[in-house]
Amino acid sequence: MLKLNNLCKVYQTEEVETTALDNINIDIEKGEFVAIMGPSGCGKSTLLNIIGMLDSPTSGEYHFLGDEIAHANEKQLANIRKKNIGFIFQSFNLIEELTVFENVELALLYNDVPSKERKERVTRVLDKVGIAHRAKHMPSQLSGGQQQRVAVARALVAEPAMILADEPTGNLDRAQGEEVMDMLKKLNEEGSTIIMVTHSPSHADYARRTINLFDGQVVTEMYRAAE
Amino acid sequence: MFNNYILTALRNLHRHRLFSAINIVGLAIGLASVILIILFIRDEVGHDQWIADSDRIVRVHMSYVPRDGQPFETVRSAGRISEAISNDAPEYVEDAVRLIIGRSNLIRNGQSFSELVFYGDNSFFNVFDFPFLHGDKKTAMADVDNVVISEKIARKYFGRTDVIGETLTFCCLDDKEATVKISAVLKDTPKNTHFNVDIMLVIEPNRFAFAPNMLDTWTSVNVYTYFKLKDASDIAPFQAKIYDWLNERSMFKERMTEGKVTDAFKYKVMSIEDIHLKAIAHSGNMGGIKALGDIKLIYSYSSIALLVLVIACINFMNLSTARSNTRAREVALRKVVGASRSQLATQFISESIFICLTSFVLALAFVELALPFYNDMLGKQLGLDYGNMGFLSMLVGLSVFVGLIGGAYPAFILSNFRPALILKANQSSQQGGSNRIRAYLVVFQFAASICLVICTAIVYSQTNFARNIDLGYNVTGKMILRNIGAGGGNMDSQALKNRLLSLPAVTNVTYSSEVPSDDNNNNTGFKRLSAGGVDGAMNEQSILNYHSVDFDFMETYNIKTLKGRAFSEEFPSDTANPPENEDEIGTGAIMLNESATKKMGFGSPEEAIGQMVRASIFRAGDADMTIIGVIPDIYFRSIKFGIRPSVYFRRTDRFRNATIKFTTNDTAALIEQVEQVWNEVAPMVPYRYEFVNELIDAQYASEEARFNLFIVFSILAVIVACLGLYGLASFTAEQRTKEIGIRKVLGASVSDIIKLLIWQFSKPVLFSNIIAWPAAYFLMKDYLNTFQYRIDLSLAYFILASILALIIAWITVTWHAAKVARAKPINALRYE
Ligand SMILES: Nc1ncnc2c1ncn2[C@@H]1O[C@H](COP(=O)(O)OP(=O)(O)OP(=O)(O)O)[C@@H](O)[C@H]1O
Ligand SMILES: [Mg+2]
Repeated sequence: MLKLNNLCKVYQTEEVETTALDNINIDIEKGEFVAIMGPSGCGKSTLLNIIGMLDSPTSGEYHFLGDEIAHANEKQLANIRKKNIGFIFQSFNLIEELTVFENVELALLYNDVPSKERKERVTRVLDKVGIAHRAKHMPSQLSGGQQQRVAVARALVAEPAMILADEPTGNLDRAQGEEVMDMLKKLNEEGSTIIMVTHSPSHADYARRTINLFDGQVVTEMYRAAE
Repeated sequence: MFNNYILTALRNLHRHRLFSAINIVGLAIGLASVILIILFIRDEVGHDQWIADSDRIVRVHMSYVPRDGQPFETVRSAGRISEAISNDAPEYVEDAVRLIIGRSNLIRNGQSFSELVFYGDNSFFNVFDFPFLHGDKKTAMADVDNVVISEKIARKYFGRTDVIGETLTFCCLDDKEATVKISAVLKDTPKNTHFNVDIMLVIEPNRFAFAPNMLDTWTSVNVYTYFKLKDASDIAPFQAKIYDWLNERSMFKERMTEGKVTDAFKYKVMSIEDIHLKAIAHSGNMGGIKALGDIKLIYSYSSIALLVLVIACINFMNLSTARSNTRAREVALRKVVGASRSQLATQFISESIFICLTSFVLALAFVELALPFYNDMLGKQLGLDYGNMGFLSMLVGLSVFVGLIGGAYPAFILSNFRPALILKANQSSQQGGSNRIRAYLVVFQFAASICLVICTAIVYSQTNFARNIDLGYNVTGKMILRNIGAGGGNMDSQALKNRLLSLPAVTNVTYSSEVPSDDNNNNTGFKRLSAGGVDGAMNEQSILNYHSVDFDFMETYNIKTLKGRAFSEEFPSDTANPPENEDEIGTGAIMLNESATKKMGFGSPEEAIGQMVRASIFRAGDADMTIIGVIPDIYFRSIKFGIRPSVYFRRTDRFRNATIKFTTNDTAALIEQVEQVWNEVAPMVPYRYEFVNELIDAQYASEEARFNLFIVFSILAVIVACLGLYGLASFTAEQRTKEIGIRKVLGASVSDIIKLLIWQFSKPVLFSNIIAWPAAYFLMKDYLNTFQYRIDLSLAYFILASILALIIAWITVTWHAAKVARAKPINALRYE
């Protein structure tokens, strides 16, 4: 699915240069469930963002579905992104001014899905994450767990090949966190590639492979045997 | 505490530099506009108020509305009215004075200078108690041969002011050279008055022997009549008494065949304090002594200036409330640590007053920079008088007021935030209500701007249209010689004409009493001598304007004859002749313009040809004259005055101007050649020339200046509105970064985002048309109705103005939108 070769990311600020990612080499196959772990500031989010094409690497190669895209421009990236990748964030990132339904619909809107089909798909996916009864509510009227379910629905609705989740359970309590993890697991079983950043070892256990980062470098990769 | 506020204010100004700059500059532009307009209005409204007892001095204005015809209105009155009304209403009248104004040549050291000369009854200084530099009001006009001059004239001719006893020689008063003795010197009077007296002579009937209908007349309106009343409260009863006199005791009563005199004929009283701004309504199409002001102009300038200020205030409110969201956390925390709502409100209001005062100082600088151009445009000498504390503190008060208004709403919004709401994670601090109000205010700003743009375009088109309308005669290649006949009997006009015609570049030379663009106050009654014969009934005569023109006048100006023929040397009877004896009647021929044929009741121009008309145009008595020709309605003066029904006859003693039609481009040489001829034929008379096309252009100069000012204020309004939009757009873009980031993560392209933001700001601009169009429509319909010939109120103006506004809004917003849209989405989401 994707392949990173000698990937580096250096942040240049006024005083200091931060090497957030240092020579990363990772291969991820289609249908994998990968967890990324590591202490705060080790570069997890940076890595996920680059994989998600929200940011570009400073050097190195990034092959996505066979194409080298490390130096593609924002427009090309936007195009690949909207067809293939769904995002889930720790802080949900729902648009406050739009209803639950509209938030989910947005992903289809930018993929030029006709209105009738949009409606069907949004309804179906809201049903799937169990939030259909709140479709007309505004995000601010939902609990954190409910908001994250909406975010999951939004990530799913365009049926992307790959879902990226940056600490999806970070703002949730234990029960809510389990719920979201169960959802991700189910998605993976249905064929989605999932890459997830997490601080929680128990949540990382849902994944088939765990990548440990330290100071921008991959320190260990650990496979879990199939259950 | 207050220090603390100021410190916070300064820190905030600095932190939000863009908003501060937009606020301060926008408000400064608004305040500067208002200050400039206030200076203008103060000057206009203050006209004549410096005159002693100005509240009880009035002038009477004549209005005559024939039963079926155009009303005839003028601010002048007939020569006998002053005495008659004084005698009839002694309980109100303290004193009265008549004023006649004309040009005369002042001869000094063998040179002669054309000067504006006032003639007044010797009661003049009782009514107008002007301050004297030398002499006093008792002796100033005691003798017929006295002359009172202003400080300015004294300096001009003597180089000093203590000139009592010196003499001045005029040529001519009543066709004779006359030497008069200076009896007093007046202090120069301020410019904001409806007349400035520089040379004042005594009305002496013999001096007007050449103009019989100047003084001893009930109907010819050639003098200005002023009354000083005993009390300011007498104005209304005095007016009533005049009507009563007209209806019951005046000679007009006998002349009326039916109805009351005041149904047709009135003398309206106006306080001199109102003359500058309101006399225009009574002046028919003849204007006043000086150019009159116009109260409508005051209204429209004030509303524009106020709009600019309101638009700036809206920016202020919008940017403050928008910004308030970024300060919401700070406010919430302050509240948590115990700040009361009123303390917070005080803080924000002081902040906004501080901004306003900063703007005010900047505005004063703008005003100082603008004043030279402004004065140039208006032909005034306005200035900021820093010594005038009252005025200055009024302006400061205005700024503080603006600060209070502008600051109150944001202060209310900010201090009203509920901390719990804001501090709760992931809760938008944005209150839907304040967002909506901002949108309404932007709608209002753009409605005002679009309305102004539409009005400006229409006023411009109308002005342009008026300038290019066919005047009915040819204005190019014509030079005017003034001062014809000023040498009394000494000038040989036939010789002058022959000598001029011998110049190679000259094709025609013709004489006339006035030339195009000249005002004239020659109006008298013309009676048709139809089968019924003559009777004295007032309402059977038409008051018409008349001009004296030479044989080839029509030909020189390329005025075609509609019916009949023009004056011609072949017909000796074409020249008007006075009666030779008391009981005889003079003779002559007249030409009419089309309006005059209608006013006299002819069904068509043909019908008029060959008819006889009687008028009292000579001192010696009436003349019966044959209508020989009809010309089209030509615009003798600016088209804003419309067409006057006019009569033309050939009375050689009334010729005051020569028109030279020429075919050369070398006007400098022509001016020299003509001057040589002039100096040989009339060496004692000043050589004064003008060109007809320049005279015509000059008539529109003041309108163009007013119009330019209108444009300037409109542009300012649009600029200030755009400043606000720019600030708001950049703020919104900032505020929406997170949302934009999310949208991009979901696949929105750069153009999707730009469209999103542009649409957000297009909506209010589009909505504003709903207000702007009807407002502009009604305003402009009214405006265009004041013109006899006008452009259509086409939809194109409305559409173009709206598109323009939209484009300006887009340009303003796009820059920001593009910047935000192009950024990597992660930048927007990173610090979530
Ligand atoms: N825009 C930026 N400019 C400069 N340095 C940055 C920027 N973004 C991240 N960094 C730095 O890069 C490093 C990696 O950051 P990153 O956000 O990827 O960490 P993380 O592993 O996600 O941490 P956490 O678990 O706290 O979310 C950190 O040292 C961070 O300070
Ligand atoms: Mg992170």
